[in-house]
Amino acid sequence: MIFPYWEIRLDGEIHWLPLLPVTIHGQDTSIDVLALVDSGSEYSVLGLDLADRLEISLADSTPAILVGLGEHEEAGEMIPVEFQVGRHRWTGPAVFSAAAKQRVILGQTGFFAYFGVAFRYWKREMDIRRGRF
Amino acid sequence: MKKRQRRQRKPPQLDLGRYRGQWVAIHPQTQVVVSHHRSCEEAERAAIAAGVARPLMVPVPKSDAFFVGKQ
Repeated sequence: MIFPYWEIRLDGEIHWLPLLPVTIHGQDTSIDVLALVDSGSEYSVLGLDLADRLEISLADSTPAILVGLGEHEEAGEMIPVEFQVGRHRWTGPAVFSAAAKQRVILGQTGFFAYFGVAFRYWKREMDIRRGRF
Repeated sequence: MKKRQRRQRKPPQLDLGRYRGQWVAIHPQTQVVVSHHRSCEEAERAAIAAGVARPLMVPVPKSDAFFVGKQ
């Protein structure tokens, strides 16, 4: 599956980003969001607002600590979440965090564990294939 | 030998500077911004009310460009 990079303009600057339309399934509901495909993120990360929107209970979640640049730590809750891209549907771990407000990140254990991704920045596209494991 | 040509797709474009810290609901085919709100649910609800049954929701971080970028 070939997906284009998105040309995002923010305050006059252009950012070419590997953003992927993905469906996130919750309790009898789902939402389509544009997620950043981020090979540098160990986990998929979602904001707590999405847990509310999808009626996903975090009662049985595992506490997780998110660390980014600057070693600043943020609390999160890890739980299996059902994702879908096109006809491909899978359940992978995702960390919900208040610090991830207005962010949807597809990371290693929740996304790259299931898909092979070739980033072709020079062509502004990514080639995503379901892994055969 | 026929050379297989791949149609060059125009990359989707979004101008999001004015929506920092908000969720933006766009039309999934046209990428036109339909609604925006600090709350994902509110932005989605407004898009559905505007006639887009399954809007594509775009989170726009308040600072930094999506993950690691410059402010």
